[in-house]
Amino acid sequence: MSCAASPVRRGLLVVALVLLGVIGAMALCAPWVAPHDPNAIDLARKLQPPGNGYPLGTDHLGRDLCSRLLYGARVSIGTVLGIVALILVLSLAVGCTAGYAGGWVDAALMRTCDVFLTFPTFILAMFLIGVLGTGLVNVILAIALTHWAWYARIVRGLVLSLKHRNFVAAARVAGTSRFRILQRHILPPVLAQLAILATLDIGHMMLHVSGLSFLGLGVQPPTPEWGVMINDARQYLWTQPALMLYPGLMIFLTVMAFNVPGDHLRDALDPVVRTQGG
Amino acid sequence: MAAVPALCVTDLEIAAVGPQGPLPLVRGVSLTVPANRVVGLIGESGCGKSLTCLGILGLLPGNLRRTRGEIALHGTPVHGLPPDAMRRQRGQSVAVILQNPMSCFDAVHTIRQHFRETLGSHDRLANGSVVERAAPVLREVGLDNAGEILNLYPFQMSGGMLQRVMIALALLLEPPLLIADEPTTDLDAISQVTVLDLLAALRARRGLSVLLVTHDVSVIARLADEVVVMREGVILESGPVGAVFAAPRHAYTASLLEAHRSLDRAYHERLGAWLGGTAGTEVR
Repeated sequence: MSCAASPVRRGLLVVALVLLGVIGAMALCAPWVAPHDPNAIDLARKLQPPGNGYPLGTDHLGRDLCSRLLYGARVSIGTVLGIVALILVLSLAVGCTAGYAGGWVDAALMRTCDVFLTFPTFILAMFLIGVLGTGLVNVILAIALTHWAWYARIVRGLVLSLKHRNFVAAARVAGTSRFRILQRHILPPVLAQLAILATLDIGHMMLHVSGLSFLGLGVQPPTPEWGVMINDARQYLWTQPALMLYPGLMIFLTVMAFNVPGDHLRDALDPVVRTQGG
Repeated sequence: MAAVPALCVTDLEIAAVGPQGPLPLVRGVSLTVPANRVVGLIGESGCGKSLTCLGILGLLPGNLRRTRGEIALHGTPVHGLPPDAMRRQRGQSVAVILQNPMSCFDAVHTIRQHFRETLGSHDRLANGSVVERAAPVLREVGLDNAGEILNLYPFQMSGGMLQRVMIALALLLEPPLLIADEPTTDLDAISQVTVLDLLAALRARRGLSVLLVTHDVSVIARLADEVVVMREGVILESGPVGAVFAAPRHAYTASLLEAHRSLDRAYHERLGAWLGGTAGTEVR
């Protein structure tokens, strides 16, 4: 990472990592840090300006905005981690099987991937939610199912290039089993590549979740989620812009905080970019 | 000597299976490696040397198949064994050293982990630690400080060292037969000699049988007892090295030897000219 990183870029990385830490801490510590119950409705105190024990004011139902933002970090990050975990499991299973087995197994699995790749992801996700119904778990399922195919293709490509390497041949002639070769010689480099891809994609998926929630297809209203909060605040855009601004800002900052380290990770591990930068 | 040969291949045929039916690539190869003998298999690139080896090991790629022939390791037929039983044979009854040692090790793992993998693949991890098992074989190939070497990553070692580590790995499970597929191809001249001398020493000390696959006539001449000449998937002639090299029966063998000699001649002429030149300047 020492190579291309100018002081500015390096500073940005530090800021992003600190931000990521703060957002993570917010998500973890929400129940202890939040001044109020995020779902406690108090119509007498609706649309309050900041102050009086409400650091960022209240929304149209008198709920504490600050508490909802803190709990929102929990929902957003939790959802995205769930999606990424599901995608990694699916794509590693499919990609490794296809790449290592080859033949008709490979063909069948890759044509299945192609089916998923033909649809625009957002439309397909909306369709899946239409079938499965709305809700947190279904959002995770829908987004994971619309994105795994890219990862599966990349995993397959990496496995194909790795399995013809000489060290795999050496392991085979020493009598090592297929499973052990996969686990010891093929998975580690594949996982390293996937880690880069996943950090770069986390922001994108977070926007996806928030987008679906904003449309009312994702996380359902009483749950404090940033997309839902923006949707709730729509009517008050002119009178109380802060209600929309803060959740929007949180989405923006979180997406950035994931993308910047992802970029750095890619630059550090990709020899082509590294020589150009250096 | 009525001893059981280490390897006996009879009428082996390997074919590419395509839509037009099988296309034979190795046709009716028969060869025998007697116990404690080094048999050289020589031929040009693409003549089917390596395919024959893969066929013996049961590691043919998916589109190639053994269509005929029998393979026996130490008297036991191994063709048609189920994959897992064949996998257990590899490393235990027959070990392999490959060419290009630099690429035969996974850069992610240390040498120790490579040893552990080979032991673990044959359920031998239980008896003693990796160091205890690795140190004697490493010493045997001339690498004395096993503790240090096991902690190195492959890219921290030279090609010659890695080839010796590969031989140590092959010896780890004490297989009676070693298949050496171009063991000296990517090494510099000094490492080549070291590796060949090492193989000769191991053969004398351990009673190893070796199938030495190469396209280098001088490697055969240095190490092998018998030679098998192969071209276009067929064995042209075989016999004791001295007899075949002194009086080749086949025109191809003769041209192979002549090609080697002409290179050698050119080298000696240039060397002679150079020595003559420097000698001249020294005198003056």
